[in-house]
Amino acid sequence: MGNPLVDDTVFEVFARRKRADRFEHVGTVTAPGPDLARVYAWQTYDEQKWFEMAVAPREAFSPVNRDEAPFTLGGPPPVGEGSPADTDSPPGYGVPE
Amino acid sequence: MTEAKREGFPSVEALPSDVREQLGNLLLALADNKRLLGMRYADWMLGAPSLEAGIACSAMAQDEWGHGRIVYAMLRDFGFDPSHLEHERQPEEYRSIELLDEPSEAWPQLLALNLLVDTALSVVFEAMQESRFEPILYKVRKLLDEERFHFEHGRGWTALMASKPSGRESMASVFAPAWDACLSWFGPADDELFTALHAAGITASDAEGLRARWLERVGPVVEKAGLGLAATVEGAWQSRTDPAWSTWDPIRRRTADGGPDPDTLARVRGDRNRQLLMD
Repeated sequence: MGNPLVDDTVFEVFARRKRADRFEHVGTVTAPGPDLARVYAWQTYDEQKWFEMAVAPREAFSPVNRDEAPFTLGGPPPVGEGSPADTDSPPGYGVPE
Repeated sequence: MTEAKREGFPSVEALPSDVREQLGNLLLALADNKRLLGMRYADWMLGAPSLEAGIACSAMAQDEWGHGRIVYAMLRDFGFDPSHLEHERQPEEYRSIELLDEPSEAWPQLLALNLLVDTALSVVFEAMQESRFEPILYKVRKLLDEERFHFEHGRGWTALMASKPSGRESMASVFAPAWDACLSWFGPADDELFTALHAAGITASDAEGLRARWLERVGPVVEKAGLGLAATVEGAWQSRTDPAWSTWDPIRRRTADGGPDPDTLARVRGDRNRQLLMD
């Protein structure tokens, strides 16, 4: 469902249940800017009573150990890299590109 | 405030009878508006401009229905029969603003409800955050927590639409009538309901004070969007139009007669599920 009005940006959504918890990546929202991204994130990922939630545009993240952009899902692992990190990644978060 | 804090009213029975009547009227107006507004948000769960906006409408619909439910339930103690209120009334018995009578034909119209009507209701709940009517205090806090995001949604989308001339134009034609209806919703300066509730410490302001607060919230948003509805005069937000009172109904808090259209009424009363109402 495209929105002819705007160029949407993908925002990554992070949240934690308690102050003592670490942030976890809970998903993504697509929004025209940070203001609506905040609203969408809060209303979309409402399965928990979060202590804190934050969003950041996906493009704000820099890859550390891989060449591809962070949060990329799917596709075969690069040849010769059977890294445990790749096989243990959590399932199902985010929207497929 | 130099005035000593007055004692609270722990129950409906503790309210003086005139205050009880006015508060009952206010709560019924709030509940009806919440119920109908929830339906209008729900109309856009499918067909909103983006998947996320649809989810937001769904969340806001659920919030509004929840708020409506809570307020209808309170009305039992005010001598109303909640089952009658929810399932048996005729259109002209509803105390909802005329803007909610029919579905929003286009997204800008829904935004006008989101930004202007939803905020008007929230302003009244805000004015009860320190109400002497104690049973409402806990309910108001949770409600306002949720409403924060409704306002942000309305503000975000209004700004977005205004960034394109065609978007601004489509908003201008529907925001103007919605603006005037909301402006009147608070009532004239000597509105009996809010004058009585303010004097009794149930609300923090009277009609003028509430309208001023609403203007403070929505004024900057519509001004930034170039809709020409509000401006600041000596630092205070003012409407560029004046409310018209000649046909304004102080009980239903609206100018137009009539009420929710037949389809809306059937849905809001749950007519199709009438056989499931056991008692």
